[in-house]
Amino acid sequence: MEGASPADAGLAREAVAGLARALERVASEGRTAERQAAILEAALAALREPLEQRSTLTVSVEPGGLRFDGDPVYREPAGGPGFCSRLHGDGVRSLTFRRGLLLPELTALAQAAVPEAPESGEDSVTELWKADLGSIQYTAAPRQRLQEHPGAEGLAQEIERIAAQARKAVQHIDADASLIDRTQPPPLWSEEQRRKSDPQGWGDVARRAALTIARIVEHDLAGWDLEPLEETFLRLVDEMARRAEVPALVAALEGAARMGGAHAPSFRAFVARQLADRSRLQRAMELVAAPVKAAAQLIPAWTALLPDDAGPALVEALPGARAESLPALAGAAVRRLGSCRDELAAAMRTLPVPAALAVLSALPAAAARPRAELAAVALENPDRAVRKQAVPLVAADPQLALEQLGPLLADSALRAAAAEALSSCAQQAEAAAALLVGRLAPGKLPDEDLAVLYRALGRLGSSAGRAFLSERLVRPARGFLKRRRSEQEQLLAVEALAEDGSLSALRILDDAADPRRGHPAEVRSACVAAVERLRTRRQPRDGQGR
Amino acid sequence: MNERSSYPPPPVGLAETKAALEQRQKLGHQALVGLCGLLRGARSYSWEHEAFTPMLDSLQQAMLELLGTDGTFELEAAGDAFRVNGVEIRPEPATAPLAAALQTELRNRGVSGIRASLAPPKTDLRLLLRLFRPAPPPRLEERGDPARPFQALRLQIEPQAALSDRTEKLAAAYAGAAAWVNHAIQQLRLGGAPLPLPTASRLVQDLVDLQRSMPMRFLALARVKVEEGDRYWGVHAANVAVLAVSFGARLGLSKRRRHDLAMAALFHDVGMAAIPKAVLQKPGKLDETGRRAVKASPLLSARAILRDREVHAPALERAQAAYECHLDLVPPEGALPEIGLPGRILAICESFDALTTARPFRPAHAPRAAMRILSTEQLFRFDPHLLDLFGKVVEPLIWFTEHAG
Repeated sequence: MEGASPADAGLAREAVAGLARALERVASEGRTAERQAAILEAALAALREPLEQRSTLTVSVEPGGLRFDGDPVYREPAGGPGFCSRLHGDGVRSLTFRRGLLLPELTALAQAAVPEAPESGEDSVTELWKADLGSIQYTAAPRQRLQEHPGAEGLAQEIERIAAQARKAVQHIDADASLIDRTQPPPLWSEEQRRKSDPQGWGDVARRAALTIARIVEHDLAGWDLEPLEETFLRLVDEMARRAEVPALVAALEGAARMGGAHAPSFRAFVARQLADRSRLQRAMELVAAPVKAAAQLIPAWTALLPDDAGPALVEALPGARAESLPALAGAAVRRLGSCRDELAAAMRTLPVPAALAVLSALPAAAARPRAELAAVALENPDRAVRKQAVPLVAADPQLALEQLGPLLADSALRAAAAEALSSCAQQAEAAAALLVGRLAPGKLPDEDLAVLYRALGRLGSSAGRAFLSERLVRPARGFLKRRRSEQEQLLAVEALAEDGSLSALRILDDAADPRRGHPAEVRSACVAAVERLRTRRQPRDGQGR
Repeated sequence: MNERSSYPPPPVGLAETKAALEQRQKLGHQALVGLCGLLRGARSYSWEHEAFTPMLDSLQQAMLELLGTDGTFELEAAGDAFRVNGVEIRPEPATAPLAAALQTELRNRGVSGIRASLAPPKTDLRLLLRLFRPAPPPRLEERGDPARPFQALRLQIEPQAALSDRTEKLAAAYAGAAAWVNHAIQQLRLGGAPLPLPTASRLVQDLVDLQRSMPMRFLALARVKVEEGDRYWGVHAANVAVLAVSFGARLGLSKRRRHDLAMAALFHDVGMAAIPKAVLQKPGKLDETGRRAVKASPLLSARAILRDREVHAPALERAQAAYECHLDLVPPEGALPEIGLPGRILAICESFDALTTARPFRPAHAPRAAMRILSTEQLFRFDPHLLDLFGKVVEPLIWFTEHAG
């Protein structure tokens, strides 16, 4: 500038260069409004003095840098296009800063200029125009003007024809001064009404757009745009996840899940493949903590769409998952056991307790054999609660149960659970009974365990078990000191035979109820009660036979 | 005396910047209220009357404070808003009608702004007041009435040619928008690429800017009608954009929002590209296949936008408005649909323009008759509150059609 001293010119140049460096920093590290403001604040302070001196500062925008007073003041660093390239590419040719420049205006400039600014999406000329900045003006190349665009050459005649009609319509107005006087009436809405009627939340419009895509596919209207629509849907899902728009995300996923139409399966398959991506799944896990009601629905909605081969990714996500997402995640993994049996088996030994328990809770949905196998692996987990929950599941495979649960009868912590589980192995009743008898025969078990083991033995209904119970009932151990103990075992045998409920068991009980057998009164009355109970239970069945 | 030395330097820091913005807003508002007061009083009192003294004091004080903090006082009449030193002034509801009147008065005198870089003496402000007399000076220059020029104040005078230039620009932007839509529909039919989106955005930017400076002329564009075949859709879309921008401006929507609304208007019927011309141009009732095809067009419009893989808010709004503007607000069966404000505004604008245009299957309705149809037979389709307000927006159009033909 002609009137500026060299020192002033240097100050202005340095301030402009400082602003450019600040914009570069915004691109790399200023992802939040607070951070952007902090970065730009210093640049603004440096600009104030030259703006006081000159009123305006104009910089030319070039493909790789900025020029001020004809001299280059900033070059973009190597390694990819920066904000200058974006501005220039979109058509911005100069920026003029005026005295009175404010921080919000610089922030708006940064949002328009910085590539891939999260809030942006349109070209930077449009963004600058929309921002309507009082102290920052821009000039733009006419390249994007319709008249200048090479693709619009054929439209000149049509434009002229419509423009002639438009001129005519406007001239009519010009001819009537009373209409011109009616200009600029006050707004019909207050600020509050505007805010209420037009909330403009991205999440809301994104949710509706995702459901619109689902509707297009459902009505078989996607045509050759099916793939682009799939990608748009996925981008919406990604952006919703990035912005933590959980209710919108849940609605979009549920919409995709219930979508009908001929192309729905292929659409879902595409989305499902992408949702199984580990980083996406990881983000979904983080969003479960969002303080919104819909967060509880996120993992069920997400996993419902995942493909059958997504098991390994789900298993991988289990150790780090939050407690509230574990049931859905574990359920999803168990439903996809075909793709992750080995991974889940390996994980069962080491998974954190809540995750392992969640998998065990979900295992009943699996087929018997894999259920039992996975549960058997969980028996190796160091946590007792995990092992205890695994025990009943092992019984799904009786053969495996015999192998795995027999030794546990020696484990005081798991003995009762193992006995209960063995009692359900009806297909291997004799072998299971042999295991239980083997543990009962030496005696010296705590009372609670004794009760469970007797009951389990009775429930098995095996002949070996009945023989053992009959023996304990009919010939209890003798001797003054053993009397109380014998009586207790007799009572447990009565209860177990009642559980057995077979005709043989009934006969044994009926015989023991006879006073001539010399059993204690308490045992006799227990036998009588059990016989009564069994007869009552058997009567209708017998009656049916007649 | 150096006026600026008695004022603190410009504040630094985020909070202080915000405070500076608020201060500028406050002082700008004070200056605007002062000018509005002068305008109101000038119709009743002589410009030399003592009644103006408090208003002149208040105006002068605001100007001096702004000169002190910013080194300049610049009031610009920008479209339907005022800017003071670059900050758009939000008039209070009580001031808004007077501010609008001030805009008109300034425009009628060819003045687009008032500025000062030195402290204006009271005599300058009296001379400014003099310009608002019912019989203003016949010619104004930068220093006001050449017969009694200002010392420090300066007027920004619009060149006489500006109005015709702007009218020409308005016609070109409108025609460009219509042609852009026709071209886009044609390209979609052929499977080709439409012109880039920024070309449409630039046209819309011009339209929104011009609406601010010439709202009545702008609204009059909606009187352009084309009935013939393919060109109907472009002109219809441009008319919907004109009506929507006018409506948005009356509702007080931001410039950004008006732009997005107009873009959505341009795209709202691009789905028609997928419908055979024979169906679109068929006189009389459509058969079942034709009805199904037309019913699908809103989703096809949304598809044409959503296939671009853009997920930023304006693109999504465009797609949603294109779909939602064709939905019934209260459908005969099923759940109430969710319709955003752009969809609700476009629904009204698009039906109004369609009804006032002759179509192969029916003649055009007069604007008043169209409004009657919207608010009776088709009311289930629209937001009744918005429809009521829309009636106010198109009132001049109705009046003009009925009185001027």
